[in-house]
Amino acid sequence: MIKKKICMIGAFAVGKTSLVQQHVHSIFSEKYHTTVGVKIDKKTMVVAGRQVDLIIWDLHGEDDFQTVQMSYLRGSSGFIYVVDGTRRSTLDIAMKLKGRADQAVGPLPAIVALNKCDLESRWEMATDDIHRLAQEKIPVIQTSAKTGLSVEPVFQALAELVLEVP
Amino acid sequence: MVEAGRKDSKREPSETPDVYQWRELRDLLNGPERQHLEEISDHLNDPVYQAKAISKVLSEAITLGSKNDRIAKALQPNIDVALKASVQKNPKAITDAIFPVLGPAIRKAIVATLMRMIQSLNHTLNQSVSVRGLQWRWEAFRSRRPYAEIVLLKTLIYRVEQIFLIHRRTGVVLVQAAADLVELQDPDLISGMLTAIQDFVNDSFRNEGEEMLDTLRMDGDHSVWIEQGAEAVLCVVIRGTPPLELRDRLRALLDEIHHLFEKQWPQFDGDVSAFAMVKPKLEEALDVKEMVPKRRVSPLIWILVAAIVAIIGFGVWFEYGQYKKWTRLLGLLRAEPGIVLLKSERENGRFLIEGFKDPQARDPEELITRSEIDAENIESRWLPFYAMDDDFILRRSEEILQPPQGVVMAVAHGVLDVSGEASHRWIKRLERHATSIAGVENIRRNLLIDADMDSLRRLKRDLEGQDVYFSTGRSEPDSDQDKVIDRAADLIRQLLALQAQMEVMVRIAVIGHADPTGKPDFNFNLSQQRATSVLRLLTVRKVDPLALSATGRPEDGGVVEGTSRDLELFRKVTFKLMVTEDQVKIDD
Repeated sequence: MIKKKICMIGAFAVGKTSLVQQHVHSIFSEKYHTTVGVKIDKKTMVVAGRQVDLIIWDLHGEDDFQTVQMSYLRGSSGFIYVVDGTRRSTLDIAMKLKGRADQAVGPLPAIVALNKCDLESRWEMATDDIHRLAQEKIPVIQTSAKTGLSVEPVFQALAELVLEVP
Repeated sequence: MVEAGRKDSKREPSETPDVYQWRELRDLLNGPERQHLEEISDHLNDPVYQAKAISKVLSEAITLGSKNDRIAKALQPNIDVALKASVQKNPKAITDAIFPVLGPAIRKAIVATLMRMIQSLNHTLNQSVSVRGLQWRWEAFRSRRPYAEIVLLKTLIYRVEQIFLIHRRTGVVLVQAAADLVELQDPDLISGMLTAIQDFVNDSFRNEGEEMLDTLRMDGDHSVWIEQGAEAVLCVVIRGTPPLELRDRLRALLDEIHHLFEKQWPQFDGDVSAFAMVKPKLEEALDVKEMVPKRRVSPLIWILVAAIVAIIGFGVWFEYGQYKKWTRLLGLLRAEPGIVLLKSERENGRFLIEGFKDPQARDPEELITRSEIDAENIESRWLPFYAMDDDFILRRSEEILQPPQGVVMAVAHGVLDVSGEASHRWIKRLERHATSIAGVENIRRNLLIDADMDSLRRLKRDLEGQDVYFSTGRSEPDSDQDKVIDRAADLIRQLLALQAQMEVMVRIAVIGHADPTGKPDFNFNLSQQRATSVLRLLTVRKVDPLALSATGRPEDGGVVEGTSRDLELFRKVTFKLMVTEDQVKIDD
C-alpha cells in the first residue's frame, strides 16, 4: 500500500475545505484550522491498479492574520493550490505561496483547482491568467465545491502526477 | 607648566631676563624631580594608564582582600545586577554556562528526593510481610536494588495500547499495532495531526529542530510517548503510569527498526508495505503485562469477616437446629393420639402451641421436654376434650370403671365389650355408668360372669332344700333335726355375708307347715309355732334375727289322702330366700 502526503494550499476562503469535505474521510473538526493551522483528512483511491492513501493536509488559508507554516509542507509529495475564480487576488496569493513552497521543499507535482466555477457571473479570471499557469506547466482544473464538479479528478490527477503515471 | 619638562628651555618673549635666569636656575636645581612629578600627575589623570596599572595588581589585591569577605560583600550587588543584565540580554550564554552543572544538580536533587521517598517507603514496606512481598524481597536481594524500587516497579499499572511507527518527514504511518479492545481511530489521520502538532510546537517555540515533543499527556490516565529517530518516530499510546525503563525498550526498538530499513529510508516513496514485517515487533512491545497490585487485606479484616461468618453461621445453625426440633416436636404432637394441634407459631423467637388434649392422652409437656427446646422459649395451652377413637373410649372406660382382675374390656365402634368374671357390685357399677362414658354407645356383656350372683343362687338352692321336720302335733323339731338347723344357720350366715358384699337385701322367710289332719286353726297355730321355734333355734345359732321372718302356712284346702309317711312330709319348716333388688332376678 502506498501513502502519500499532499497539501492543499490557498488564500483564505477559497473553499479548500469545502472542496474536500464531501470526498474524504475525516475525524477532526474545523477548529484545528484556527488553532494548529492544519486539518488532516484521508482519501483512499486506486491509481493504475494500486491503492493509494492520500493524506491530505488541509492548510489554513493565508490571510492578513495567519500565514501558511512552511514546515507543514515538509515531506509532501504534491500540492493542490486552490484559487477562488471570483477573486483575482487569490491567484496571486497562490502563486506567491507556490514560490515559497518551491523554495522550502523544492518543486513538486502540483495542480491548480480553480474553484467556485459555478459563480460564472462573478468570474474574475482572465484567459491570460490561465495561459500563465499553463506556462508554468501546472494543470488547471475548474472545480465547484457546491456542485461537486471535478473534485474527484483533482485528486486523481494529482495522484497520477505524484506516482508518475504516464 | 607643560613646558616645564623641557631641557633646552628658551627665553619667552614676555619674560624679563631676571625671570628667565631664575627659571633656568630652578630648572637646573630640581628639573628631574619636577619632570617626574609631572609624569605622575599625568598618569593620575589618564584612565587608560590607570586601568593598565590596576589590572596588574587587581588579582593580587583580590587575593589579598579575599582573606576577609570585604571584597565579596562589595562585589555582590554588582554581580547580581550584572548577572541579571546578562540573562536578559543573552540567556543562551548563561544557559550554556550553567547547563553542565544544572543537569547533574537537578538529577542529584531528583535522586535525593526519590531516595528519601524510597527510604520511607522501604520503612513502611519492611513492616508488611506477604508471599508476594517475600518474592519481591528475594528479587531485590538478587538484583541488589532497594526493595522499594522493586515494589514501585512491580506495582506500576500501565498498558501500552497503541504503537505507531511514523515516517518522520511525511507523517505517514508506516505500521501500527493496537492492543485488543482498543478502539482505533484512523492512524494515518492521528499520526498526521501529531506530526502537524510537532511542527506547530517547533514553529511556535522557535525550536531549532533538535528538541522534540516527547510526551503528550491527556486527562490524567492516557499519555502519548514519542520516541524520535532520524527517519521514523515511534508513537506509543499508554494508559496508566509506565516505568521509565519502557523508554529504553522503545528506544532500542526504534534503533533496531532504523537499522533494519537502512537502505529503504533514502528512497521512501510512500510505499509502506515493506514495513509490515516489523509489526510483530510492535505487537511484542504492546505485550506489556498489566501489573495489578493485589490490595492486601489486613488480617484484622479477615478475622472480623471470619467472626461475622462464624456468628452468622452459628446463628443459622442454631436457628436451623431450633427449626428442626420445632418441626419434629410438631410432628410428634400431631402424631400423638388424643392431642389435636390448633395453632403452632413462632413469635419473636418464642414458640407458641395451642391445642386440645384428651385427659387420657400422653402429657404433651413430656414431649416438649424431650424436644430439647428451651422451656422458657415455649408456651403451650391445652384445652380438654374427649377423643372419640375406640382406644381413647377404652382408656376412658377403664379409667372410670376400674375393672377388677379377671375382667377384659374392649371397644369397637362405640360398643364396650366386657368379658370375664366380676363381682356383682362392679357389674352393677358397669351397668349404671358405662353408657354415660363419652363415646360408649352400647355395652355387650354376654361373656361377663357375675360370680356373686352364682354364689347367691347356689346358697339359695341349698338353703331352700333344708327342711326341718316335726313329729305330729309338736312345735319343736325332732331332735335329729339339729344338723339340718345347723346347716341352715350356716347357709344363712353365708347369705348375709354375701348380702353386704353385693349390696342387696336378703330376707329369709322361715315358713312353718302342718299336716292337713286336725282343725285348721290348730294347724295354723301349730305351723306358726313351728316357724317361730326354728327362728329361735337359728337365732341361738347367731343368725341375725332381723334378716328372718317366721310365718305359718298350714296345708288347708284340698284333703290329702295318703299314708302316715306322706303326712309326715307336711310337718315341717321350710326356708324361702327373698332378695330385694330391682335389677337382680334371683329366680331363674
